[in-house]
Amino acid sequence: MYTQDPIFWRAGAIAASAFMCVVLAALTIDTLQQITPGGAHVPPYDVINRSIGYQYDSARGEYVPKIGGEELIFGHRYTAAEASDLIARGKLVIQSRACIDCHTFFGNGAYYAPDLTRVWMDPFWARYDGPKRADRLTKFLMHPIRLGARPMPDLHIQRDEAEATVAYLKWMSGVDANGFPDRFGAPAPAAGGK
Amino acid sequence: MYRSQRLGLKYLVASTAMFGAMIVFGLLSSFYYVHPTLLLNVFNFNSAKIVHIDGLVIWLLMGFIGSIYWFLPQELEREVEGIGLAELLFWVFCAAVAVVVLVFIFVQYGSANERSMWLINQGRKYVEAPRWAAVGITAVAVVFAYNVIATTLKGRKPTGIVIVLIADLVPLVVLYLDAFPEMANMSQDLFWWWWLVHLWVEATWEVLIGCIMAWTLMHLVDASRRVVESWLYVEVALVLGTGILGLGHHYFWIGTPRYWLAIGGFFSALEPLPLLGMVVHAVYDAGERRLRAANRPAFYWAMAEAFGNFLGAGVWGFMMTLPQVNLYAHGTQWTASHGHFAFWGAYGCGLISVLYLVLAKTRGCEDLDGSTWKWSFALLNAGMLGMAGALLVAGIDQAFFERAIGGSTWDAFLAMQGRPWLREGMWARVAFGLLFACGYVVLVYDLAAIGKTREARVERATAAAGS
Amino acid sequence: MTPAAMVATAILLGAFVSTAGVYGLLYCLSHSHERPVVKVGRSLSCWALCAIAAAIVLVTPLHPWWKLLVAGSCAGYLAIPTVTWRHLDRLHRGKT
Repeated sequence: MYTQDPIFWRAGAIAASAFMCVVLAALTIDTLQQITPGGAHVPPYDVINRSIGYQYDSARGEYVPKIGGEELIFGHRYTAAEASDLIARGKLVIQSRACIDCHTFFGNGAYYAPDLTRVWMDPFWARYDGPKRADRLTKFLMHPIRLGARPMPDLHIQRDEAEATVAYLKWMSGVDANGFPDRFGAPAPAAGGK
Repeated sequence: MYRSQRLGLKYLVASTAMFGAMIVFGLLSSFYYVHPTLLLNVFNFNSAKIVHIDGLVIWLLMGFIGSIYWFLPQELEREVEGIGLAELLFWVFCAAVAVVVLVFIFVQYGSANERSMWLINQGRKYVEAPRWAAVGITAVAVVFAYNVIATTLKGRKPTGIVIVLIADLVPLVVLYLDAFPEMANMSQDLFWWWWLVHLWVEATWEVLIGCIMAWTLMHLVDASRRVVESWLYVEVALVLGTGILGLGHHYFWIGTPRYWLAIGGFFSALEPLPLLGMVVHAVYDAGERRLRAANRPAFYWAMAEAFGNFLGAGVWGFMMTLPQVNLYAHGTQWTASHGHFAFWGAYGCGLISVLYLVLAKTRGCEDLDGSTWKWSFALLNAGMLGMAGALLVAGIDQAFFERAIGGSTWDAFLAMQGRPWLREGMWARVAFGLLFACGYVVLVYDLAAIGKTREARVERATAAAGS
Repeated sequence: MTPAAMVATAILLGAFVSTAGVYGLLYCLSHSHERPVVKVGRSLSCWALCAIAAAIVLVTPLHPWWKLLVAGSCAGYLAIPTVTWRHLDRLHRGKT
């Protein structure tokens, strides 16, 4: 019977792998377009000049970022090029200090410290208005104070590095992550209720 | 013994040592959870974790490479081509790993500049090694692929296993190129990063361990080539058929389009199906041999591979993979539970099986047995089961309270850390981690001693005199 | 999905695949062990697998398409041991 012939299964392995690779390639091309800054899911870098909120969208049935009016950080209106440079520097800070090995970004990383996806609008920091929030976050990164049971170490982050990181975190909070994290900043439901 | 097999032995010894280093830094990482100010600003959690997870990747990679250097010359009945270069690169690889670990420990991080990326820490999970080391690892991987391909081209007609191996090595090496770029856009960074991580551990590495286990079965239980090759093709078809688009289960929440929820969830949900087939295959082989094999530790670790893979990757993964559950389970100790168990089941057990197989050959003692290996088998598996269980309980509690109710805010996170199930889960993880570490110590003792005891020597001499 | 439903769904999904594994194991053991307890266990685990799949379909708040996937997977998990065993048997017998 042909199913006992290894050649049949070899052909199956090649066909299955090849087909899936082609589908993955096609989806990758589409996805990369949508995750380019300014694309459908990822805001342009100069969104750091705007206010960013997080609200429940009943049409989509999930929480989505909401980009609002002007809300500057560090007293500066960044051009697209300046914002791009600042965001790139912020990412370099995040990599140089291996933040992802304590924190998570979009839930990816280590689970020792809080998720940073929406830290910009975390209720802890959102009690400060935009410009002040950026300053407070910057000071925290430069000189971490103990906020709870899990102290953040002092990673010798300089002021310009801290500002770039804060700008990065603000930009990142504007990414549409299909509702992750759910209910961020919303009042808690009952355990059995929505 | 072929030179390649001697090199394979060196890689397996290095791999075992790296396994130990991984455990030490894993234990240290677990201590921070129960004592958060431990070594604060001296050696922080992220530094310990980096050595732990990078150690994981290196010990498994060295184990794979060592296994293939061991089996390949026997498979192709000739010395491996370019073996001199491979021998040199082994020492370069070990030296590079040592330097990188020392830098991770004593330097830890630098300023936000290219110098830090090139010399200290690239800060992307699993591939934190500085760029110069990534260049070195690429060189090792390219030479390794050259060894396999050139030997095949110069040798006799390649076997099915070798063809599958070569077809797998090419994407495996190419995917490592994601260890280099530095992308500002986190969505884009994670998109490509998951190509490396997922298409390694849930695709190309699965095929790699499939090839290694095929050889293991042939040498261990005299399995027929026709059977193992046919089964290998089935495995590749099913694992890659589900795993390639199963990559989508990492694309739910990183800013990528919504269709990934359906695609990733669907294919990911199918991933346990071939793993059940592997369990059936393992039990079939065990039944054929009536659970008897001359090399009992190798045989039992090979069985553990099938079951551990199904449980750790299949059951634990399926529990959290559907998007409706993953929205809350994502990025919690639940993920850590699955990760630990899956890596152990899918790869750790298989490599330990190869270690015993290789030892039997090098010590001229085909029938390996004793009580020590049973102790390490029990301690390691019980330790892993305990760790995975502790992290699961803590993770489910975290998903429930921190994510679903608390909304994943900082306050919810900090409040969660004080909850009893999480605190107790972290203590239990430490305890089971220590158990696992004891299992490792017993394993190393057994690997050093098995087949070398006076009784074993007397047995061999008696058998030789009898024949 | 409520928090409680999320946890219940996850536990049911884990139990589903675990039971599939138990069924697969007992199916295989029933070929080499004549003991009634193995055969009874095999039947019970088969029914348990179907029952858990039914619970997921009827009780959880998953979208119908996901429920269809679970039902289809149930059929797959029931078929895999039989098909795989038969295939391996033919392969091994055919090797000589």
